[in-house]
Amino acid sequence: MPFVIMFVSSFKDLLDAFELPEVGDFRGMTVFFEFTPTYKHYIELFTERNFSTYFFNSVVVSSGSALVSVVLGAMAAYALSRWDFKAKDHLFFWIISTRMAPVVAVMVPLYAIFRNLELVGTIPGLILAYTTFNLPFAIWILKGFFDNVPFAIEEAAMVDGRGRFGAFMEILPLAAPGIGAFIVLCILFSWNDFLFASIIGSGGAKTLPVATRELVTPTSIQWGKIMAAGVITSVPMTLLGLLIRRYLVTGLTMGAVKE
Amino acid sequence: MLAGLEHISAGDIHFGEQRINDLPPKDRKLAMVFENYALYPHKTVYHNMANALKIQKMNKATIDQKVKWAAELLELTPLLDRKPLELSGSPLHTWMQSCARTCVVN
Repeated sequence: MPFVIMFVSSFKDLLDAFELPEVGDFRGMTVFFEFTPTYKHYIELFTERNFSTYFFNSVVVSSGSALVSVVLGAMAAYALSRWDFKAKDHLFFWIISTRMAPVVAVMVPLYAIFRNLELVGTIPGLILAYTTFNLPFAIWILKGFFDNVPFAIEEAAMVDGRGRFGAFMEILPLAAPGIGAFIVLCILFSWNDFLFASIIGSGGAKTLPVATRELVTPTSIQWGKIMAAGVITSVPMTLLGLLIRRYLVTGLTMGAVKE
Repeated sequence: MLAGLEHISAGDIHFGEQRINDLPPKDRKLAMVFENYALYPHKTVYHNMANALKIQKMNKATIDQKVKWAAELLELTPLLDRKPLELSGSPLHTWMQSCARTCVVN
């Protein structure tokens, strides 16, 4: 219901948007849908408020962070899945423990580090910030998928003439469901995040949630534009979820090895 | 141990004159039939068989010729475009394919 109201209101003029039925008057609900559609909020967002830049920033930051996390995470997860070494369990726990603290708790030290490295307000800085949070998650999700890939397939690749890295690349398609699922989750996290974007990304790397927040000013709240910005922010993620759904189906490796 | 997948704790293995204890599997130029087949589930029978030859950077025509020769030998020609999971659930076919992958290298 909130999504429907957001979607419908984004096409309404401000007066139409506040046309509400009496409390308890269910027939009056039709008033929600009696309006002349207008695209002015969308047009104004892109012409006056520079939303195309913020949209571009959001896309670059979330896909960049997903890419870096998936590349580094897959290699780390593979190593953790295939090698036994001293204190491996402790290392594995330490990796996920970095996600246990709330984001706010690490924000101040992270900001200080990023400021010293001159990464505040830059797109690479924001990508790095999201990667610090996505990477442990990537390692945990992907390790489970690599654990399910039979070791014999890699051995076959090595006998075929691949080195260790080549064998890793050879089994990568078998972890595709895990990688697909992780990429979606990672993009969702970065796309919807407000805290990192407003603090680390403030200035040069403004993303959609931060730009939407700026539509609330001390003198006015621009509801029409806020609703339109909400639609612009949520529609790409909905489409992505639908597109990548098939990757979330596991079972690619079933039957490859005799049980 | 011969393929280099297991660590040799004592003794030496020689291929002719060469001591191969520390030689990685990829440099041993061996082929083997795995007990559990170890086929790539995402590749067709053809590409499973051709993989080792591709890694050796053999040219396409030679690969094609060798794969077809091995497939003919083991009566796998009609199945070349299928994936291991689609081999009508027959363990024999899967096993034959695993053998064919080995044949093709030699």
